[in-house]
Amino acid sequence: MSVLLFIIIVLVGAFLAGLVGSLTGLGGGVIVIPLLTLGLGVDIHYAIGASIISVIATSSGAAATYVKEGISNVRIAMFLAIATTLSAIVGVTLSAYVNPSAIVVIFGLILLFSSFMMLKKRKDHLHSKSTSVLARFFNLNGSYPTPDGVVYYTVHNVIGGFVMMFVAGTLSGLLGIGSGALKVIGMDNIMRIPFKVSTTTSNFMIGITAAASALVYLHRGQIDPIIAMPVAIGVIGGATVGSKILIRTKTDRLKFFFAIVVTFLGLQMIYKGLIG
Amino acid sequence: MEQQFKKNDTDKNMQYALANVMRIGVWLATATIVLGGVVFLYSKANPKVLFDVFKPQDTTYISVPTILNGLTIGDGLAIVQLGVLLLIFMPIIRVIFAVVSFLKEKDYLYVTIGTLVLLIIFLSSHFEGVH
Repeated sequence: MSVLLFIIIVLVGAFLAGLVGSLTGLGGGVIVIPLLTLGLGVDIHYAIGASIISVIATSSGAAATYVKEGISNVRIAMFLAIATTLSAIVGVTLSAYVNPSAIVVIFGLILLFSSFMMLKKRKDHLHSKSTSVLARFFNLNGSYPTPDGVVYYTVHNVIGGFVMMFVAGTLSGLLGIGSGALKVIGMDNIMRIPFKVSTTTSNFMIGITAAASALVYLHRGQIDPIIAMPVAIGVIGGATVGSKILIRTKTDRLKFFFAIVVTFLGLQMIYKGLIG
Repeated sequence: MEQQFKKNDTDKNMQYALANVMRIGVWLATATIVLGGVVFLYSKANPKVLFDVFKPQDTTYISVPTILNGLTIGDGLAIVQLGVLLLIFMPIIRVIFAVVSFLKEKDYLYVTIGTLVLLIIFLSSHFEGVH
């Protein structure tokens, strides 16, 4: 394939990935990696390197908006980032040992999990006023602005959340994804942090985690500029357009549609990993 | 109730400054990558590309010195990697801003935690794993 054609195809695909990502909350990697590996026959190592760049691009792009809203909890992000950055390095190290076919299969399973999470209805749990000793020591309890005034929340099960972040960080480093779904589970379900705070705080952590992984991938030669270029440009462009549409569309039907697409991609990745 | 929670809001000015830094940074990185892409496509005759086998030795620009070296000869791909590096630095800048905010609030526990995170990221840049 000529380099120009390759770049054009990846550019269009990454644009769609960024667009879908910002409309559904899926990370860029979930679409970029199948596009490169299944669609264009790119080796999984290069796909992972390009994907981590798309993860940083989406995270930083959204950051400008999130920072202004003041919803994310910087202390929670910083505290949990110790777990995610350390484990990201563990994950990147593992990726040198794990059979590439196994990585493809694990990625497929993550896709299935992501589509399940996308469809799952989230329930806002009641927030008790109690809190753990660790949450108080690390000053993790916080507040965030809502239209009805400032809401105060407390944080629970700090150790459980920290462990979950280790899992999320390892997968992030191993697969070159943001692991946003796992991070939100850790904060929302385990630590009982309000959903809005969880998602915006997760965005911050995704960026920090991906930066740690990306520097190792760069050194390893997994970030090829010919692939990274159209991926970064496409994802940033798509996410920018997506954030403009988001305000006026209902995303429920869209999420359902993409959950099916992602499930299909996940199954295909698992199949490819098993036969390859 | 409210006294029970220490205020987690960082300085509003700081938040706006950070939002602007993030926005400008992402645009600057994107512009750099686009420029590199244009230079690359303009200077190279359409070579065939195949990424079906991972050959790390074929990727030239894998560190700051190699990228700077490529910039001096005006290689488009080195310009792309410079933009990629800029992107990678955006979350790091966000952590640095947070550490400065904690310092202003005299929250030394979080100055330490933030510095630790920066240290881990810094170590990762010297870490290649195993080939």
